[in-house]
Amino acid sequence: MTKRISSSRLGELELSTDEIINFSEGFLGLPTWQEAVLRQTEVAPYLLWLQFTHDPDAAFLLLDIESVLPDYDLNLARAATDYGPAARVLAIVSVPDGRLANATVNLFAPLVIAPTPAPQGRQVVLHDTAYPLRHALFTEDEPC
Amino acid sequence: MLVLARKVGEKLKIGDSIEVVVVEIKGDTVRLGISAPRGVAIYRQEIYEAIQRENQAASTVPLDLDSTKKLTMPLKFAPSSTIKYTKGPARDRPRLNGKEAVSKFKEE
Repeated sequence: MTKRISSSRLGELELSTDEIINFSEGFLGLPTWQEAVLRQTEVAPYLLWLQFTHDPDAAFLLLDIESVLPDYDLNLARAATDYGPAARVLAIVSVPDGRLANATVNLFAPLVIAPTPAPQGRQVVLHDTAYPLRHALFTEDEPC
Repeated sequence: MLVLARKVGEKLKIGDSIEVVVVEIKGDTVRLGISAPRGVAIYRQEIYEAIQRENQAASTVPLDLDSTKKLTMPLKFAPSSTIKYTKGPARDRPRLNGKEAVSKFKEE
């Protein structure tokens, strides 16, 4: 089964219904954001779009934590779910003032996404850790 | 609001599936133990609000991000050694809101 949606950022998308990730609880502050698909960005391989199906404007920019922050404890996030070790752990990226150089990632409340049986995911909170809510993703080189 | 007095070790039931126990009272701090089904999320109030705000801020990523210049050399990843975590009592943790926390980790 396929489904067509439009995305303000990605244009018209044709999805397979079995790739739709169900976030049945929604998100804190965004309770209606419940069904989404992952797509690569053209910006960088470690940044992905999570495009929600209910509204073309509704999307998160996500960081594939594993590929750029190897010290991050992915299993701590997985352990807050019952999704098992195959689940992906991704962090929501904020882009203050629209400048990617200022991007911060939410390492305190990451998303855990289970690929099977039917894709599902939730945002977990790493209580009693010091992972920051806004970790600056990039540092700018000092001018020579 | 319902207000109930409890002693250390005494419990409350909320519905059939949620149990709250007073673990310890020390000065002006009460430690609570909460048992709830997995689907029931439990947050400290201020963290709940901080995550709400952060999610809403992240929901407005500019539409033209992909047309911005691709990431090239001037941007470097903040070293991952700046990210640490500790597991332990809340009173030993740094505050978890925003730039203070981030800059604190950078100093360490």
